[in-house]
Amino acid sequence: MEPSLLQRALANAPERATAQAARPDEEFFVFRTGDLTLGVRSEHVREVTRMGPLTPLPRSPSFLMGVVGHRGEVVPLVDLLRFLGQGESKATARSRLFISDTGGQIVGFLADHVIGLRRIFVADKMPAPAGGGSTQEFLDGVVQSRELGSLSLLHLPRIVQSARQKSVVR
Amino acid sequence: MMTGVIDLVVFEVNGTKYAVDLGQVRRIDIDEPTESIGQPLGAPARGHRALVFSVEQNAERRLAIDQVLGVSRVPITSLRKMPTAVHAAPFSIGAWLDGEETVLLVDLPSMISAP
Repeated sequence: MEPSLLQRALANAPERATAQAARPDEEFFVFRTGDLTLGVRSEHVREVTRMGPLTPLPRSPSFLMGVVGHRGEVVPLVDLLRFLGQGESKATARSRLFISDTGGQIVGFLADHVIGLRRIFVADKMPAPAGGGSTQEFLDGVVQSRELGSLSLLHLPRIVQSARQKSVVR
Repeated sequence: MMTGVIDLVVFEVNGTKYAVDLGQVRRIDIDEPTESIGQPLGAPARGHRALVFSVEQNAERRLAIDQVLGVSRVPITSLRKMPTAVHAAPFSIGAWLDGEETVLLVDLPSMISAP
């Protein structure tokens, strides 16, 4: 008797799922601020919280919004839009503060709207477009996403280091 | 770990609250201040008060402010130094965590050399 289609299929079927070719990816914390959709590596984000009372710092660069008290710590708050020369952030009821930790440096950033965690395939990352001005050095890449549109991936350690240097040299 | 309390003069300049060690304040001028060391904390809205403090050789200097909110006795454990991630002006020496609020601690003599 001829084997049935099912029997033929089973004869060639593997015993277990074949391993998919590894496609490396990275996890990013994705948020919107102003007109920008931005992502930072999730390993650099310690916490997301509501915005508390902000204390301005006199004689500080415009991108340094001030400091906030958070869990017994005084955390400097950086306005990414101002830092990147893309406008100015405005804290609203929907705004959230994400606390970053890059090599022990704790800095807060304002997000208009938190989108969440997304895994980005490394192969999908495109280099920052040339001619992006001073912001280019702070970009880890750009991803075109069906869900999010153009997503700019930020290199947070470079931003924190630069913010620190800019605020020291006055 | 240090324990104890410290007395802070809490004052306001243009709607922002600051605090300074009571030991630095010689007196509070309630007349219109005729001179000020400048506006290191920004321009006061009214500037009807001044914190008078001593500098070298017992000379006096004045910082024009808007109002003194009082003297607060605060636990040392509620004080924090400025975060290292972003440097502030040299006269911004730390912060007092007053519940939800963060009050900047300033050093008056350091304001003299502030640009």
